Amino acid sequence: MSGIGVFICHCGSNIAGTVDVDELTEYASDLNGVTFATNYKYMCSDPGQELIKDSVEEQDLDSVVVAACSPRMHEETFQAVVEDAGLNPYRFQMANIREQCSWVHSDDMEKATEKAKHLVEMSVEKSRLSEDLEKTEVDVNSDALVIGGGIAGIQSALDLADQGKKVYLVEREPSIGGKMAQLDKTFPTLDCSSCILTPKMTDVARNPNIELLTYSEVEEVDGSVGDFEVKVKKKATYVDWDKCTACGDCAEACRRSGNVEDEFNEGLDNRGAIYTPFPQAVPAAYTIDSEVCISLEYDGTCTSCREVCELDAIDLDDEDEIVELNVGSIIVATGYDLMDPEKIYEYGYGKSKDIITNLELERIIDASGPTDGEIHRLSDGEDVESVTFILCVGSRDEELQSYCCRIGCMGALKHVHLLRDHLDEDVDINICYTDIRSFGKGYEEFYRRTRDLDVNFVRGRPSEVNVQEEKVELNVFDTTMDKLLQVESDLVVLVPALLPSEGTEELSRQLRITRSSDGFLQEAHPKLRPMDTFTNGIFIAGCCQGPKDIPDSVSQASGAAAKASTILSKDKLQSEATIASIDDDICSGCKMCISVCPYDAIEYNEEDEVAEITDVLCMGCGSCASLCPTGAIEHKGFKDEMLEAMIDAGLTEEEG
Amino acid sequence: MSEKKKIGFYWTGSCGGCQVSILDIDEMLLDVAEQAEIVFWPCAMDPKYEDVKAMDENEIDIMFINGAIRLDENKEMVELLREKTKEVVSYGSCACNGGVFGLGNLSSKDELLEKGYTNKTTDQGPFPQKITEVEEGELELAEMLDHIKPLDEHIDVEYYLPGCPPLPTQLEDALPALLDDEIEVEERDLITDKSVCDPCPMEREEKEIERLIPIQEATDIDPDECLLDQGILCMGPATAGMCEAPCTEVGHPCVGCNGPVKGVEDQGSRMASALASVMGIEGEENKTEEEVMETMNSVRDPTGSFYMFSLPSSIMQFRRDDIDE
Ligand SMILES: Cc1cc2nc3c(=O)[nH]c(=O)nc-3n(C[C@H](O)[C@H](O)[C@H](O)COP(=O)(O)OP(=O)(O)OC[C@H]3O[C@@H](n4cnc5c(N)ncnc54)[C@H](O)[C@@H]3O)c2cc1C
Ligand code: SF4
Ligand code: SF4
Repeated sequence: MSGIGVFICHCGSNIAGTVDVDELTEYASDLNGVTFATNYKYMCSDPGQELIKDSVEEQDLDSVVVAACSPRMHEETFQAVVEDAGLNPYRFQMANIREQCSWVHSDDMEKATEKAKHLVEMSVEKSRLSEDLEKTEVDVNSDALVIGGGIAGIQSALDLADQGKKVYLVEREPSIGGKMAQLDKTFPTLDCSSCILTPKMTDVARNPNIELLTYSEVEEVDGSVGDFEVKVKKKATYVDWDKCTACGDCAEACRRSGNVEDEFNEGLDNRGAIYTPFPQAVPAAYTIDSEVCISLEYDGTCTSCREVCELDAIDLDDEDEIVELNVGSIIVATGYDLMDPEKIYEYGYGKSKDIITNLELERIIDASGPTDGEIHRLSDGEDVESVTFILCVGSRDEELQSYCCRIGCMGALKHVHLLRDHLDEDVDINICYTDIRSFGKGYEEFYRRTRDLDVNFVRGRPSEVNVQEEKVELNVFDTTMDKLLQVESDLVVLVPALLPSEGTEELSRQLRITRSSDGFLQEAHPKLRPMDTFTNGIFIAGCCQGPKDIPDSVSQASGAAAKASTILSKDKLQSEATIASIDDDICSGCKMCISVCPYDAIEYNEEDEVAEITDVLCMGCGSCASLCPTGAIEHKGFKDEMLEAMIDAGLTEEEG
Repeated sequence: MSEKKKIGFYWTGSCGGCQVSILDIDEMLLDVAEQAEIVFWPCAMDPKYEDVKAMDENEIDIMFINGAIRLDENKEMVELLREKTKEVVSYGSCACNGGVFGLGNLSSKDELLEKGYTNKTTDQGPFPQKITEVEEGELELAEMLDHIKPLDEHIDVEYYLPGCPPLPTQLEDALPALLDDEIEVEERDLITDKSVCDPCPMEREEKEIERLIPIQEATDIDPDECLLDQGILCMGPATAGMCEAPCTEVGHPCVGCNGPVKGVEDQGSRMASALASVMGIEGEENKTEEEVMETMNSVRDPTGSFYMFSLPSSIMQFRRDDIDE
């Protein structure tokens, strides 16, 4: 007659030193449903595993209980043994008589043995109710989608493409590159940003595995890991990119030329209606800004650009297009925006052209920027004699962003180097800081070198920035000197907080991924799963997860690509077998369970008016099963009856 | 035609609503009278204890018993009726789950008597006791039991028909099934698998309840939107839905009178754990202890709300003084 076999492990003396394993074996052999019980020195060793395997056959066992260590250690080991022996792996239960018994009760053998009996009996009771469980399988689409074409998105896309995966890279601007394209040099090595970025951008353009969808945004996401269905809106560019060679004749001819704020240059100069964001843009092509084009507003009335384009690339009938993609995994790399410094009224941003942001300074220093790398007062073109940086503008501020922007300090130190290169050596440079944070590799050394550049470090946050007739004056209490300082400057550079890029909230909703309280996308575990989201198959990289510098963005991007690849490289995905399922004859559609699932595995079926679980998304956490007020949700392998039987067994009093 | 079934209705500690609900089936009573002979109905007839005692074993085919088993006399009587009856129907919430009377289980018998008889707001009359000596001899009164337990913990019960009181529609569905031998036993199953949410017409969302608002303080209730979504405690999700949700349909939250859905043992803990899982879930990782407590404290009178009708059939059953001490 088939039955349950109980295998008790000594774990050397770890268990046997405290628990009387012979007494326990005898006790186990008398338990309801148990037909065989034995003990052995090390159950996880090869002979131990053989013992289980042979006994299953010889003793005709239909389920196995191993009383040993924590299932975290060896559940998988023994499941494999049981499977090898021809049983369903879920016919295996583990009683933890080490961590939960011998280790914590080593001072009382008798009581420890009693407790071990209870623990074994509980597992036997659960085993009596156990049943075969099967994993479900889904086909995996091996293509990937990367959203956001900053350095992080570029890196992820290239890594995946190098592994032979087809990648769709969706970027909402006309060109990829992100914020890094706007930077002049990069800390701590001061190498030129575009020199290291542009080759990567052209790699993207050339890579046959990457399909670039710029000027595009994700509209809708359906499906789940292995098989996401994504709709992407490609906005009309009104230029046939297959024909356009980016010669630029049109931009010169454009009647609105010089009339539209140039976003890439942070509004420090102007472009026309037909433009390319920057010379190295990828794809190298022009786009018509539909909001300012005369022809698009007045029905083809202006023909300037069309007249000059020899390739006949301009197409005013172009329309938005919806592209439907099927992908197995998604990487989000949508980066950040700077906080609008006008939020801090006292700092006077907007009141004088000489009060600028650090990103504006990047553009000014850039030799191909709006001032060709010349640094003058922006208000009147006069020479600059004094520059003051204000760090932590809106960062580390309970009222605004409580977190650190992680790049502000290093960025300002970098700017000191660059300003020293560009300006006379007697120019005053002041940095009003809260703490200088230079934590990365080579950063502290960089900071030391900056200190040698004759910079005034003022520890304090200015209370006010006042625009005077000629100069900008600011008051700051230096907490190291214990002194109120009044500083006059020709340029005040604000270092604003980093925010999740615009649209992050909406995107997180479309993708059903969560955001942390600061609004950035949330990782599944802050330490151990930094690029996973709670939604299986969706990963995050770069500043969309939180402020970070380029090295960290790139590392996370490569990590996310590797993570995505582990999914994309499989033909099929197996879902956990111990997942939850909803009985639609019982579910009454109260929608209580839906918001509780951390993996967004539960959806409401409007037609049948019941909740449904997508098997592949369920991680078997059990949250929903313990909540359902009608008991419609069963957590396979942890059914209510099992738990009740275990509790009963655990609470039975010893006779006598 | 086969012989008429013999049926009876009995009430123990109750408000009388269950008996009225029997009358509420109106003309159907006439049909019932055609198929069945009512042999025992203290509310309408005047049978004596001795008459019941004299009956044969299983003489009655179906006995509907409603009310809580509050007194020793209730217990004796249902035990006697059980002997005389083939099939017992536990009728109404008090019999099925202990009902509102079951909330008395939060106090000891002595506390209840004290409150009832020596409280300043009532006349300081004589304190009830089992035996009272009077001139003419001894008077014997029924005595209160320590706790209320559901009927099926005193005697075996074949069918359950909870409700406070059960609606005429429920009885109209149940009676023909009970009286007709041809009908499968399962079809006489009177508790639904589905909760009140199933028939409830209100529009509902994924639950993210910030805090509960007592209904008396709720202004601007949207008549089409799920009450729970509006922060009003509604027991609908944890309550068997054979009533077809008449309360929520008119904007009153379900108070849970039907008890749990089939297969669920503890209505109150189910509701409490469901609510606890969704209350204040928005941004919960960043909540302070105080904020969490504020959310929790917005659940007023948790026992009274979650167990208004089912404390005796719950895992708690009654207040355990022996554990307290
Ligand atoms: C002034 C300044 C100086 C800096 N200097 C340095 C430095 O010297 N060294 C250094 O290591 N770091 C520096 N940084 C930090 C650096 O900019 C970031 O680490 C890096 O840009 C992060 O890359 P990313 O790809 O995550 O984000 P981003 O560069 O912001 O790229 C995100 C991309 O996603 C696109 N996007 C956003 N939303 C969507 C959407 N919904 N759909 C499609 N596309 C979308 C954006 O258009 C953008 O192209 C500096 C930052 C600033 C502000
Ligand atoms: S909690 Fe239970 S009854 Fe409510 S929707 Fe979910 S499965 Fe259905
Ligand atoms: S068990 Fe956990 S992961 Fe699975 S559906 Fe329920 S709540 Fe979601």
